[in-house]
Order: sequence, then structure tokens, then C-alpha cells
Amino acid sequence: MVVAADVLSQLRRGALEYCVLGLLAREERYGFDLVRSLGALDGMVTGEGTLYPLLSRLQKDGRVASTWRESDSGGPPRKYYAITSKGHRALHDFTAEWGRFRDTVDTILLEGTP
Amino acid sequence: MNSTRLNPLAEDYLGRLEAAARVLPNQDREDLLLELRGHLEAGLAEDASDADVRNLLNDLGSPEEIVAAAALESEAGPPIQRPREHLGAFDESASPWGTFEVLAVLGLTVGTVLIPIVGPVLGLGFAWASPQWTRREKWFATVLTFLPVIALVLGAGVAMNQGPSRPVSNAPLSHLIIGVLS
Repeated sequence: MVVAADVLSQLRRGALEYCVLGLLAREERYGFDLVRSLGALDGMVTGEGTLYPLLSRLQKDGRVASTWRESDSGGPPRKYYAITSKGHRALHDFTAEWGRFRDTVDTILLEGTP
Repeated sequence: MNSTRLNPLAEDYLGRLEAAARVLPNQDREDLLLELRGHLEAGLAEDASDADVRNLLNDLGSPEEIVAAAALESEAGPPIQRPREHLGAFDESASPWGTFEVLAVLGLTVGTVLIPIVGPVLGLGFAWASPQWTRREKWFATVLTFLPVIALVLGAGVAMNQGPSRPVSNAPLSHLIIGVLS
């Protein structure tokens, strides 16, 4: 079980940034909202706070852009994240590769399973 | 941004985060603190109970955990590749670029432009001191270095009959060639 948990955490780490890009591809989100959505996904994030450094790196890589905007409720300004065209390309490539990867693993793992 | 006082538990959490984040580059640390303060402000109503605060903080994970993630992101790009230590070991055992070799190429290229004569002479000195380049490569570098001088001397006779010569030596170019060849 320890081994499985370790492997899963590696897979999660690799896939997480594409889940962020995938959510942002639908619509732009402000940090809190985005982080809570990812945190609510089963088994995807262990500490929600670790998503902020990830967002920061995606922004440095140019796959995500951010803007500060006033919130509707009159509270403090919020930082909104949106996916860039570079992010769209990265997501597109990963989506294709991920499909192949998943199918290959499934072919082996599910072999003989009715 | 602003400094709304949050619930004391939340302020305490941010204080711990700030302390842990000292290891991060300035910009990364400020961004991180701002983001997490924003997160707590957005997630906590003014009348939030201590239990509400604890739940939100619990979902965030510990400040140390967040800073560890930030340190990984800011030093290593994609999270999976972390070959720093291996690279270092590899450099020393197998790469042709030791200290002498790097100094030699710097002297022969940048040095030539910055400190003419002294730069290339030092560069050649380092090249001959290199434990990794062969004798043949070192002679090659030396001849290439003096090639412009030889060419200038040989060309001088011809040039004298044909008006003003081009005073600019093409030494840096030949030194770049040495760098590439080696």
C-alpha cells in the first residue's frame, strides 16, 4: 500500500498542472475558487496551499496569465487566472499523450478481467 | 494589498508561513504570502468561528508543506525532473569542461575583446594547464590564436601596396572556433 501511495503521488504531481489548465480552459477563475475546486476533487490535492506555487510556476512558464480585479461583493481585489495560447497547446498535447498512456496501462492491467 | 486583520488563528498561520518562506526568493515569497492572505480573506466570513478557520487551514496544509512545494517549483521547473546532484557529479567525471577549460575559452574569447593581448595569453595559459585537452588540441588552439597575427604580418606587405588595411583583427572569431572544436 505504501508503494501504491508513492506511485500515485508521483502520477498526481505530473497530472495536476494539466488539471489546472483543464479547469482554466473552460473559464477563468480567481485563485481561491480554482484552488477550492481542485481540492474538492477526489484524491487530487493533499494540501490546497501547494497549488499557489504551482500556479506561480505556470504563470512564469507563460501557460497561465493573471489579472487583479475588483470582486463583485466589494471585498478586496481578487487575482484571476486564465489560460494562455501556450497553455492551450500544452494541454492539447498532454491530453493526446495521456489518452495513449492510459489506454496502454489499462490494456495490461485489465487484461483477463471480464 | 490591504491589511485586514483576520481571525487570530489565520494570522498566526500566515506568521508561520512568513517565517518558513524566508528560504524563498523575495518575489516568490511576497507572491505566496499575498495569495494565501487572499485565500483566507475569501474563504472566511467576518463572523467565522474558530472551527471554520481550522477547517480552511487544514485543507490548505501546513505552512512548511507549502513552502517546500514552492521551493521545489522555484528551483526545478517541472516537478518530476530534479537531477541537480547527478548533473554535478557528471560534470566532474565526464564533461570536458573543467575550471581550466572554461577559463581558457573565456580568456580566448571574451578576454580578447576586454583585455587585448593579456586576455588571450592568459587563455592560452589555462588551455595548456588543462588536464583534459590533448597536446594536439592545445597546439591547435595556440596556432589558431596566433593565426591572425601571422596573417597580418604576411598580409602587411601586400596591404602596404594597396592602401589602408583593415585594422580589425578577426581573432575573436578564431577563438570561437577553438571553443566549438574543443
